[in-house]
Amino acid sequence: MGGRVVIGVGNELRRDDGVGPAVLDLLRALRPVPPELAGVTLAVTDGEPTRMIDLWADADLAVVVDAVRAPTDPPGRRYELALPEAGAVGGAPVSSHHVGLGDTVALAGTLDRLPRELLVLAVAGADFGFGAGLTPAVADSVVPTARRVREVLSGHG
Amino acid sequence: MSHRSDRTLDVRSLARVEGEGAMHVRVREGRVEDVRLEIYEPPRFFEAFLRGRSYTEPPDITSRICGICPVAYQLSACRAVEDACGVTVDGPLGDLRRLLYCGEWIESHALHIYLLHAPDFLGYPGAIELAQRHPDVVTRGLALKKAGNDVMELIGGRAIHPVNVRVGGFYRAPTRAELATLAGPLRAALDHALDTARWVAAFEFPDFRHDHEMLALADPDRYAIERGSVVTTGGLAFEVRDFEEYVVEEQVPHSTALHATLAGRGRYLTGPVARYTLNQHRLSPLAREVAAGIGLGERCDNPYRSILVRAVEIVYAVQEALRLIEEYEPPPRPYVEVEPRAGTGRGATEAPRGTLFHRYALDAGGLVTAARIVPPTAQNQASIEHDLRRFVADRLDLDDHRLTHACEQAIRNYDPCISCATHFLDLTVERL
Repeated sequence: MGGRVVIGVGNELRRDDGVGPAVLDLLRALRPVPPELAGVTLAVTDGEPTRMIDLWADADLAVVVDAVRAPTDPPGRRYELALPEAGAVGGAPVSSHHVGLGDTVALAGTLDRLPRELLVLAVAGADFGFGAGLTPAVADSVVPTARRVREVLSGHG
Repeated sequence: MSHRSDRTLDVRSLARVEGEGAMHVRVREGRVEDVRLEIYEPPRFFEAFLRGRSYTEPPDITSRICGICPVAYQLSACRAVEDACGVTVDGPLGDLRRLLYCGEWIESHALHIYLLHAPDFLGYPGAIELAQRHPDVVTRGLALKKAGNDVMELIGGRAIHPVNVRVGGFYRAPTRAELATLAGPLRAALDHALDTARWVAAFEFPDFRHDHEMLALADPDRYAIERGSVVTTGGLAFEVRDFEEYVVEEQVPHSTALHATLAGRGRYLTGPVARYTLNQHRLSPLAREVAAGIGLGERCDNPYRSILVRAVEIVYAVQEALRLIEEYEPPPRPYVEVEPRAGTGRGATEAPRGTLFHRYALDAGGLVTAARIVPPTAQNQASIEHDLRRFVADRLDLDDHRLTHACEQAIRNYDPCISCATHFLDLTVERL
């Protein structure tokens, strides 16, 4: 085990599904590289479970940034879920991806390939249709979500 | 309730199919009245999105259509743009493309076999339950998939939406030493692939045969992957440039996708079973030996046995990747220059799920004025619906839950890349 990884999940051409990649883009663009990001693996994926597992299997800490469907909450609302709650996240009804994060966590747990610590930072999306660009409320969440990622990493040393 | 002649089922998710979509079955008075696979097709969005873009952009943009087969989209796009510009990319660059594509086949087929399809045959609800009971088996599947992933990362720059592919070739060609690092994991993957074939051969397959005409690319020199002309089991043979003369698309009311048919002939099937049936004689000796050993003959027309074909194609792709790595000589330049010109170009490759066709029209400045993408799942839609109609009719005695599960399993036989072809996949069964 070792290392820290931040995983942005989503597709930039599915509107608010791109919030995870947008946060990762912001983190990657920071110059100079903040000390809390030094040595941290920054990755973007589509949420396909085995890729997620490969990315986090050997990590001490994995921070996953993802969009969620939460029709009863305002777009842009942010959530934090750690294990075991992250493993209880449902499939398609909650995640914007076809294989739910919860299933991925469950599969990784079964195969003993979870990171030592997992934190999910999720953002409620409004529009998951085809097209580039985040809706305004979700776009407004990018900076605070990236800031929260850095706080988590700072606290994790 | 079971055994009713009229009934309605409403199931809100169809699990373990790539992406999202919708399936509707209506049964009236004990007779299957209607089967519709509803498709909301991303390629239509991308076709519009591409208009006005530079001729260099389709490979990158279309790779976003599907996270599972980005290389297929990239290389079909490259071939079409290069065709429009009068350029042929072959030699070491062509081989490097084939190697990259082998990685995608390995990854995609391993994903489908282990996480999506095998649980059906073993009676598990999904991969998690399969992993709980057989962790070593699923671990083997993930290792096999990772071998393909590693190929895509090294050559493509990354496994998801590879960034190293460009019109004319690659931004950077790997060194021999870099490619050599893949050989060890691929040799281990070959053992996993052979074990996979033996494993799936022990599954029990329902007796179900389709009668569709099958379509695939064929390459006179090797098993078709990244190039070829089009052949069918009905004896058609034509060049990719004539694809739209032979394959016609029509709008159907229940779908934003277009139904593809062979002109004057009707529905057809593309994908692994078609590819195998039309090209098995071009597999490597080892892959042919494996195919024979697990009971595949010269033709496969049982969609349930597609899992066997995928296993054989993994064996082939791993072996082919090893061959390409062994014979690799870095090209003098990582790409050939492609100057834009006004014209229309067409390209097709064999995505893991079947033939993927692209067409682009360019103006003299190299801007895309029109784009057309025909993904495998849209081509197979009519055949899938036809098979499901027969399939459901033979199983009306099942209760609602079991019938729904059986439909899901039947759909998974075709490994539909719903990411390429649909938005939300819900299954509705009406028994009226």
